[in-house]
Amino acid sequence: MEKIKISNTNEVLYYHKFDSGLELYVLPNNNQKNFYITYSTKFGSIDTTFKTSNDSTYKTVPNGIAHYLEHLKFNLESGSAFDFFSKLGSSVNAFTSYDVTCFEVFSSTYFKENFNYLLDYVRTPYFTKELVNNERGIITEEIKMYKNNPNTELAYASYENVFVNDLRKNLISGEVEDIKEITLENIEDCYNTFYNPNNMFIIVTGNVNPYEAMGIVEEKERDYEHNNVEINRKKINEPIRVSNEYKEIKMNVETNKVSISYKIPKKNFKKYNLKDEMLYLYIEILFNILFGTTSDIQDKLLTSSVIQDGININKIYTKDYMIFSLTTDTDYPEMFIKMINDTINNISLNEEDFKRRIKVMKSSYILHFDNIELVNNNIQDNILLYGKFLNNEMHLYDKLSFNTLNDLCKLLKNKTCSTLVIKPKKNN
Amino acid sequence: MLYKEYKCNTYNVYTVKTDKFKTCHMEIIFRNNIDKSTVTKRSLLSEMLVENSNIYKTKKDMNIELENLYNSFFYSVINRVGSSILTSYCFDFIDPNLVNENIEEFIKFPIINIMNPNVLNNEFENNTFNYVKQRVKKDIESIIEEPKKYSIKKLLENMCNTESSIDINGNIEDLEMITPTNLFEFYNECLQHDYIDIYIIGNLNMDNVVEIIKNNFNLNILKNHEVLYEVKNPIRKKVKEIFLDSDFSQENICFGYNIDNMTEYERNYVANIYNMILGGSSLDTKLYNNLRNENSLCYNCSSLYQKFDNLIIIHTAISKENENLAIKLIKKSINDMINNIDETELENAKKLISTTLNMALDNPGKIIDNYLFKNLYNLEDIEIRINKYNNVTLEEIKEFSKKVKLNTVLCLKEAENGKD
Repeated sequence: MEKIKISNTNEVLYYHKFDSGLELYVLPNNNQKNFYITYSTKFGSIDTTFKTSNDSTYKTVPNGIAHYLEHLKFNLESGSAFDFFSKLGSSVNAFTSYDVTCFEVFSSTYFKENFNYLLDYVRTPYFTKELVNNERGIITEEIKMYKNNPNTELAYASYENVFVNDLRKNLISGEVEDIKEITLENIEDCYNTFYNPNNMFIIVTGNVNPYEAMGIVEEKERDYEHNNVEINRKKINEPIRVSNEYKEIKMNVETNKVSISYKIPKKNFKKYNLKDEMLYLYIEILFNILFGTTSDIQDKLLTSSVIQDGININKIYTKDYMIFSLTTDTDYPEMFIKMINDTINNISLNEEDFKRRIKVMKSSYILHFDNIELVNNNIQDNILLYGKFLNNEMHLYDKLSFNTLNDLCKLLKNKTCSTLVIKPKKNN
Repeated sequence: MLYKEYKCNTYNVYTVKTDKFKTCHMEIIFRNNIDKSTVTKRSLLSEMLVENSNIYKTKKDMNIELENLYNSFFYSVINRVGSSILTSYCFDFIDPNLVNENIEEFIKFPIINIMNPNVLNNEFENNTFNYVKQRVKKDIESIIEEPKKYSIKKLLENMCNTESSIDINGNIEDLEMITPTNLFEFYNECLQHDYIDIYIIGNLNMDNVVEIIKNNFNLNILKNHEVLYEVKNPIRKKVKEIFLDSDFSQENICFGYNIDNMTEYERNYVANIYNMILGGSSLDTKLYNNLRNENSLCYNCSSLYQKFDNLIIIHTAISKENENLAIKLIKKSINDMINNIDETELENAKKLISTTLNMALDNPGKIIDNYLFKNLYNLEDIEIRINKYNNVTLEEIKEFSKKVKLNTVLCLKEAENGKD
């Protein structure tokens, strides 16, 4: 196994890529009693048009199929995977996002048994028409549950307004109408395409011996028949314009909820030749200085009672864009929107704030190693964003320069903005 | 892990020294019997004391100092424990040794801010008071946005006329009556009448920590009244059924059960295992199997054991056409607990409880919680608890099942246009 020293910390990440293409990452923390294993496939809600080396043309599957498949994956010919994990007393779950489906196990005992079974059930297909049909009712209720929640609706409806072609505009679960189109055939097709070792990776964190983990996967790898296929996802061109500059919806809320999303093209900053990880750090620092808990604007908005709580900053990165969304609850949405837009169109920074932000990022990075779930998620984010784990994050913080940040701000003018307001139904 | 208690005249400091974490966690806990007439003030006060102070006059100033202290976090949490209420002022910070900083700057931060509120002429600073009051109002009102919380609140209001139905966020009528002056009076009352203790965990020299606390935290009033925890909720002879309209696009169903005449052993051990098998662990329970796996009625169906209230609550959200079947299956799940549980389910529940307790050992806040409840309620050490859980028998679960009595069923109806 390759030992990767994580710079400016005492942590070591163990890495191995098997002949099949499967990648294993292990970050031991033997101060902890528990371990956390995630087994992921790079198959998310946006992967709905693709072809493999066996196909001559692209095929399109219904929205929500990655999430649907995640639900079905717990079924086995012998029953449910939960039955086995229940016997071990382990905590198991799974989730699907835009670009990944992840199966997880959390426990403090029976490491070998838990790990072996996780590897087995994810890699053992068992789908029937009856199982596909039974799951439809459950997922329909799940979709309705999310639609009842104004905060999830705020996030999803914001991306629906930001993206024109990018499939992040759709619900990860798909709509109720979408999932009616899902069949046994397209479930099996997606499984055979995406659940192959060259498209999957495993991350183990916590109380674990890396060589034991390696041995377990190695043994399984010998048992499996590998059917790797080359996956070609259809490229989608996303324009800079947003699909909706302003939209209001009515829901069961007491106070208006506002989300302002900025769509920033990465090509704006091309001349600086920055790697993605550096560009993301700069823009993240910028939004935190401008709108975070120590910003002038947050102070003004609070003391003038335009908002009563903070501003949340959410971000997603796509191939070509960085999307930063600012959300809050307010009785004065127009004033909030104006003050936020004024701030981003008249940026003024001071170096003290910049230095303090770097201190905050360094401290958060060191502390996140205490939490085996957080550190596992961070490794996963790295793999999905950069195709590898970044072991030099602390060095990256040291490389950041205030002058460069100021220069990048000047290139922020070329961006678009979409605003969503959820208004209370009762004011109809 | 080395646990130690320090008696400091009018308050106690409880320390846990461990090198497990790079993070340290400190809680200043105010504790008293819950009183419906002051719960809203308590809620507002807990927000005010972490918003700013006489030292850091604005939220921004306070946040800048927290960032200077290596991104420390200062926040408050309120919990009702049966008939008592606990307000914890929590402070998470980096181990000062890792960054070569003076420990005193960290330890005194939460203390000096709580002891020096942003007060002028015996009233809280008006501007902060106004916007924080608005925030608390929003928190109270926004429960309508969360179907599960809202339906459980409605269930408890209809089911119990006791401390169990008090909403710790408070209520709008009482909030309107609070002024900057009477809130400051209440702050002083809390200092005089609440028990106040400090818990801290981290890789720190705890004797030194306690000296710093003593130098900064001076309370001169000794308290000796009794704080009670258990709530006796009366049993109903005839089950109450309530159907309410809602704007939600799903029907929310809640079942409220009393636990009649529970022994201490049942309260601490049998009831937890009963709840795990019924619906307390989310993916392989009676409720989950009956409603979700076998009938595809819902995404989630869970049960909640309220130890100090002698209550069990069940919640699910379904489509309205499935109401009768869901109600039938929830009742079946409860009956199964008497007639249809086996050794495998019992053993699985024991193992899951053991995993859950072990998970707590990797979390500084949960380790503190264990010591807190050990001190308040003689909760036993985790190892002893795991052993006692392992000795619970099927007969004890079945015997306990007979004490679970349905009190109220509440349905928040799906909105007329709610169906997709």
